[in-house]
Formats: sequence, C-alpha cells, structure tokens
Amino acid sequence: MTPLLEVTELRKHFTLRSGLFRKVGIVKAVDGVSFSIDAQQTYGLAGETGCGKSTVAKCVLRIMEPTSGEVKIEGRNIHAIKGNELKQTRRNIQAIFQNPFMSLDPRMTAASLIAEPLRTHRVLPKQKVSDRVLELMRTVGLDEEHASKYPHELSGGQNQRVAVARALALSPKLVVLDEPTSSLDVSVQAQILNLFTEIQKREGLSYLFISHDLSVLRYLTDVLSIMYLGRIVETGPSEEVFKNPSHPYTQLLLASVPEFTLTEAGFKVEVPDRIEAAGVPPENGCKFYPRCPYRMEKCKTNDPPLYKIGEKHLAACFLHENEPFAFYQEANN
Amino acid sequence: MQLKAAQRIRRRSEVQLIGASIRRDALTMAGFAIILLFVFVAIFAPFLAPYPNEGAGEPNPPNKFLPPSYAHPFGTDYLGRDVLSRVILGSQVSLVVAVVVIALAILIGTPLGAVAGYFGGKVDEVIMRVTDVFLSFPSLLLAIILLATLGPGLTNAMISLSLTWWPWYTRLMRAQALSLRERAYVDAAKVIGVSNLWILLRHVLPNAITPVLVQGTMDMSSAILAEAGLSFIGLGAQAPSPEWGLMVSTGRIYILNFWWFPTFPGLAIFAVAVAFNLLGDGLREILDPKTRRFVQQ
Amino acid sequence: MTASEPGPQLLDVSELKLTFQTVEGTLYALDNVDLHINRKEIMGLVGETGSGKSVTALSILQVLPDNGRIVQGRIVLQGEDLLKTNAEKLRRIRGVKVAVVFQDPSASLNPVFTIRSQMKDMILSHEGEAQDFEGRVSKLLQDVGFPNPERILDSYPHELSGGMQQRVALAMALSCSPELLIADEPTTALDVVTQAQIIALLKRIRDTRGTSILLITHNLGIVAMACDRVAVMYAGNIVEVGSTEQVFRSPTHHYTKGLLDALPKTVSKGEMLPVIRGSIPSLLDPPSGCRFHPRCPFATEVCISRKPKLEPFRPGQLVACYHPIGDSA
Repeated sequence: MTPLLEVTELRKHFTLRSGLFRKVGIVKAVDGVSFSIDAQQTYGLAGETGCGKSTVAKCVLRIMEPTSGEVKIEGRNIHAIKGNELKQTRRNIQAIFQNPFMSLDPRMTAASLIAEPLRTHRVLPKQKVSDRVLELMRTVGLDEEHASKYPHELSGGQNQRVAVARALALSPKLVVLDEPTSSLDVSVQAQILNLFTEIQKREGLSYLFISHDLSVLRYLTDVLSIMYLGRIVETGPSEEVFKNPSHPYTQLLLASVPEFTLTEAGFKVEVPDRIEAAGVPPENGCKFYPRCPYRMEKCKTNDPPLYKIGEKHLAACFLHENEPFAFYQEANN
Repeated sequence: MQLKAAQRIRRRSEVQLIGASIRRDALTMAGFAIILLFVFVAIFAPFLAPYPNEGAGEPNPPNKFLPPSYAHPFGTDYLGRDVLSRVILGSQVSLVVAVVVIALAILIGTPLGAVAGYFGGKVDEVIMRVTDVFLSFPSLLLAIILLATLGPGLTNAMISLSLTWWPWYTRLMRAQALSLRERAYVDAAKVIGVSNLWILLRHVLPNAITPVLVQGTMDMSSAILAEAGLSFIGLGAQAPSPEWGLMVSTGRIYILNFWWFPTFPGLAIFAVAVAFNLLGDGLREILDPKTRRFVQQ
Repeated sequence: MTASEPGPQLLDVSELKLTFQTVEGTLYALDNVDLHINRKEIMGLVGETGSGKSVTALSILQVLPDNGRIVQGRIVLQGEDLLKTNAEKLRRIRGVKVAVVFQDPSASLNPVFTIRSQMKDMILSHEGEAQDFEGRVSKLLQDVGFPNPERILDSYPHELSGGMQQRVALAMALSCSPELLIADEPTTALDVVTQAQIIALLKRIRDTRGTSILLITHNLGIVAMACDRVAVMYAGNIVEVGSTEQVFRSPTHHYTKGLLDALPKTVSKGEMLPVIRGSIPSLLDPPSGCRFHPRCPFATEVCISRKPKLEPFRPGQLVACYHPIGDSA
C-alpha cells in the first residue's frame, strides 16, 4: 500500500556566505532523513533545538525547498509539481504551528481566518461558507461569539483551536503539528491534546507530530523518531523506543526529561553537571561522538548506519553492530 | 519587564487606545488640535473668509496696504485684497497639496516596496536600484528639474513632489515586508495554498501599514513646506492663487514697510508644519511598542 | 505558619497584596500571599499564566513597574521588613543578599562587553573594590561548571551557547554570595539536556554554598527534579505548600491534583486526559471567596463566600481549602 507520506533521503543544506559572494561554510540542517507515514498513523519526530525537525516540517509542507531528496504525498513528488496542481495537493496536507499568536494574522478575525482556506480553494459557494465556519468552530469547541474576535482578544488555547479549525477546513489527510502545545499552560495543553485525539478519530487523520516534549510524544505517537544534528538516530514503535532506548543520545534525552525521573525506575545514564568539552562533530564519523559515553575509535571515522534492534526498531550506533545489518528501506517492508 | 497578568488584559480597539494616549500628551494634543482647525478652515474656507472674492484674487486697489485693523485683522496686500481671506483660502490649497502629494507618493512607493521586500532576488535588485537613482538626487533639485520639463503650476508641482517622494516609502515598506515575510502567519498562509498576491494584499500590507502612515503624517508638513518653497521661487502655484508660499514670495520685498503682508502667511505655514510634526512625533511614540507605556491613573 | 523543615527561616512573606492600575481597571494580582523560605533549601513556586509567581519575585526585589502597588503585607528577610526599608539599603540588599537569574540570560548580559568586564562591574558595584578579582572570578566560573574559566572570561556573550550564558548569569548572581537566589524560569529557554545540567548545578549551589533558591516555573517536572519544597499558586493565591514528595504523591488542593492529572504521562495512549473545566479567571474581576471555586467540582456555599486561609493540614503540608483531599469531614 502506498504510504500517505514518503520522505526519502531528504537533505537541506544552508550555505553561509560572508558578503555577497564568498562561501564560508555549509550548515547541514537536514542530512539524509527518510521515513514514511501511513494513513491514520501518528508519527513523532523528537529532538532538541537545532536537530532539524522544523526544517523537515517545512520541506514536507513545501514552504522550503530541499537541497536534495524526495517528498511524496500519496505517491506524488510534491517538489516536482507547481501551479494549480500544487495548490490542489496542498489540500491534503495542512499544519498547526507552535505559537498561535504568531501563526494567526493579528489583523484577522477568527471567522475570516477559518474561512480563508475555504475561500482560497473555492470549495463552497459563498453563502455556505459561514455555515461551514460555524460548524468547524463547534467541532473544535469554540462558541459563535468567538467568531468576530481577533487573536489578541482570545487566550492561547482558544487561538490554537482556531488554528485547528483552520487546518481542518479542507479535510486534509495529514496534519503537520510543529510543537503545537509548547507555548500553552499545562491545563490548556491537556484540553488541546484531547482535541487532537478526538479529531483524529473523527476525521481519520494522520499526524506528523514534532516536539521536544517526550511525555507528550509518548502519549500521542505510534511511531517515534529521534533526530540529532540533522539525522534520525533512532526510530521505531514509540513504546519500544521508550522501553528500550538503544541510541546513547536517546538515553541521554530520557534521563534528562524531568517527567521520567519521577515515576520510572530511571536510566543509568548520569547527566553530568560539568560542561563537556564542546567538541566539533567529526567530519566522517558519528555526529554524537564528542558527547557519547560509549564512544569507540571507529565512531570517529565511520558513520554508523541504522541497525535493526527489533522488527521495526532501528538505531544508528555501532553498539548494535552485531545485530542483523539493515538499511532503512529493508526494515520498512 | 512585561507581566503576563497585565498582558492578558483585553485591549480596547487600538483606535480608542491611541485616542486616549493622544489626549494624555499635551504637545501631541496641541498638534492634533491645530490640524483639526486647519482642516475645518480649509473645508469651510469660502464661508469663513470675510471677503471671499478678494481671497480668491479679485483686486481692490483703493484698499492697498492697509495695516491690520478691525475690518482687516491681517491687513491688505499690494492689490488691496484682505490678507485674512487670502490666508483662509490658502489653507485649501495647502491641504490639497499635503494630501495629494503624500497620497500619490504612498500609492506609488508602497506596492513597489512590498513587492521588492517580499519576493527578494532580482525583482528586489531592480526596484532598489531604481529607487537609489531617485534618492541620489537632492529632492528639491529633482523637483525643480521635473517642473522645468513639465512647466510651472500647482498641479505639476504636486506631481513633481510626489515623484521625488515615493522612494522613501518604497524603502520603508521594503524593510517591513522583509521582516514580515518571515512571520509564521505567512508560512501558515502558504501552507493553505494562498497565492503570493493574496498574501501580499491580505497579510503583509495591512500589518506593515502603520509606519507608513506615521511617516506620511510627518511628511505632510514637509510637503507643504516644499510646495511653499517651489511657489516661492515661482515654479509652483501661480498668481492669483492664495497659496501661502506665493504670498510670502511676492510680499517679501514689502517686509519692512508693510510687514503684515508676508508675515501672516508665513506664520500659517509655520503653524501647520509644526502641528504635523508634533502629531507625527506623538503618533510614533504612541505606536512604537517599546515606548508604549501602560496608562497610569 | 510554621515551615515543614526545622531549618531556620530566611525569608518570610506574609499577607502580601499587590494590585496594578491599568487602562481597564485595577488588576488584583496578588491576594494575601504567604510564603516562607528556609535556609539551604530549593523552594519551588509553581503556577500557570496569571498565577502571580513572577510578580511575587519582583515584589521581593522591590522592582515592580510604576503602576504596581503593594497594598499590604510584610516581606521579612533576616529580620528586616523589605517593604519598610529605604531605597539606599534596598540597593545594597539587591544583588548582595538577594540575587536574580531570569529566563533569558541576555537580560543579564550586555552584548558589547566581555564576560570579564561584566563580572568586574558586578563585583565593583556592590563592594566598591575588587580584591583578588581574577582568583575569585575563576573560582566562581569553575563552581558553575566551566573547566576552563579563562576562555569564558575573554568571550563575549554571543560567543556562548544558551546554557553557557545561563551559567555565566548564575556566576554573576552568586558573585556576592547572596543568601537567596531567585531563579525565574531559568531553564525554559534551554534544551532538555542543558536544562537537566542547570538543575543539577542549582542543587550543588544549595549544597556547597548553603544558598537558598526560589525556583519559579510552570514545569512540574522541574519541580519534581529540583525542589525540596513547593508552593502552588493559582490566580494570585498560594493554594498549597509542602515537601515536593508530599505534594506530588498526595496533593491536597483540587487545583494541584487537577494539574498533576493533566500531565500526559498519567494516562495511557488513546485515553482522554482529565481536564480542569473552565479557564483561568480574569484578575480584573476575580471570583469571590476561593478563586478556584468556579472550576472546582467540590465547591460549596462557604467556598463562594469566604476566602480560605492557608493552614496546616498534615505535618508539613499547608493548604487553602475548605474541602481538601484526604479530609474525612
């Protein structure tokens, strides 16, 4: 079955220039990322700032052009199409961003924001648009009185609901959620997460959920990938990744996350309070080498591929070398 | 330090808040009041002027050079015309000049700047080079050159001034567009599939317009001054127009003997120019989020 | 009000009431806040938007904006009421006895000066002269985790990462050996791993220097990791105080329980998260009596009419509620 979203060897390199012409360096924000999402699946992408997860989102949404690689939606390469065909394809993949105060135009009312996708694609005759807007508002838990309010007149939670209504307007198949609850209070976050779950069931959506909050990811996702410096270092069914973190970076992350030290037995990785020698990642070796407590000589000069830990659980670390060697494509069959 | 609690206060509509802030600052309020007076006088000029025909230019030779008196508070000029009426009717000319010149400059400059800033690349390069060419001329000199080609007259003066003024708005708008195109709501609009034109019109322009409006307000005084300058050297309004600059020009040789004749129009120019400046300055402070302060009671 | 630990009291905030005058009217930001911090402890102050946690810190430092007014209350630091102290003495207390670290380290660091010159300024402004400056500053930087202080001293703030900047900010705050360090969301802007390192550092500061830390945050996980005791704030009131373990394992206030239940880890995948109904009230027109009553499933007549006081409920735990959880009445 064709997966809903298929990303193959995605790369995005930014060239640093001094002045107008001199090339000074390259930042490899995304450096060879591949994954796929099936229908009605929630796929999580985790990592800290600078790991490249937001860049992946922008390439998938086609608001940024990748340096190389492919993004296919329902089998169609979205970077190869343009014009009206692109516009039509956009209906299938929508997004919700982190800070609703920044992702909603401050000069538009909630109603016009929600109506915008309907008007852009002319899906409904003019008279029917406001009915649909009200219907969408009800779906996300907003009242009619919110329709004429501007973003600064609504709370963070209410604004995020507007963003959700807007994303659902075109009945997409995939919604990209880029840190959608990071700027919300705990109690509001709970409400919004419930809304996401409810809507996914009702509309049969797939989610690409990007976040640095591991407890939210554990709660929501079916499959989870951990990113570090532009690569996926571990991926697999989220329960497995949490129960058996196989990449040293994943272990470091889990040990650092406050939620987990409260109830879990705890992982043995010590979080040092001294700053490690910053260390530049080696050119040809594993990017995590400078910070890795298990590093070996070969990690400095060779870049580990993704090894199979379980049926669909992979980690890019030489510690697992002796397990059956698997390239990503193979593991996904 | 911003306090979350205070931030969550619902804001009254921006206009109301701005109004309240204007009232609070004496200087800005003074500027605003003078401008209101100016506009009022300009609109009702024919009814306010005691001698409207003379104001328009009809000579009354027997009344030459009468000093200020009860019948003629500003005296009369070298053709016997009541200076007060001339000044009142002149306000119409000045208001039209201010509005037309700035409106035209904004209409030409803003879209160019928005396009340059939003799209970047070659389009940006081309538009910016053209803008630079215009900006490299001293503006009044450029206006004079244009007028020399078009021929003197009030209308041509307004057109020439607009043509020297638009580049500033292009620059201003371009800077705004450059920062706005990175905003999350522009990304969000692209994801929906909105066309670039729609994004420019609906998302970028409305959010960028405030600095343009503030600058426009301040520039109105400069426009009036510039036109008065052009009229002073004979290239702008022509006789018998009651344009203030022209009156100062024709009257300057009489300054020692019949001082009232160039002085009152000069004072009018001064008052209106200062008023626009005060208002513009005040608006800028009010609208700049950094100098904005919570109202104290 | 007695503290849970036998340690001597360092800071005693009583009946603090704070209002702000705004365009829209009077904002009742703090409503009878009682807070006690002992020596050598990390006290957490946790709450959501509008709870008043940051404003409490500003009140202690007496650095409120012009439109803020402390209507009543006492803030007693080592026997001295800060609200009755003159400006000159306050200036000597700020930075020396009470120091602050904010969420954004660039609020404390000037981008155009090196770290060395900024630390020098800091020490000079409080002590008038800098004896053995280099030695002291090197030790400070080592204490906050820099193995190579020289390199840091010669750097400019923008050359350092967020985590490193925050460590420098901490070093500067500690330069005059304050009794109390107020850390307002010190790790919110940092990555998870760096965050854990800073938390470990704060604990070390408490242990080796005996400094008390008031850690203000909205993140319950950080409280769990870092704090000895915690005070929960809601809409300008402290609703519950106790040791971290007590409060997390057996919360007595319904708001605390609601917050803890709303965390994603408490529920399995596919289940709905329990949610506190309603939303945070406007502080311009706060609810009468207990400010949480509109959202509380156990509210009764008395909750609406009279505000509950913060009182001892179990040994070491205080709660402001007429029907606390675990109360058989």
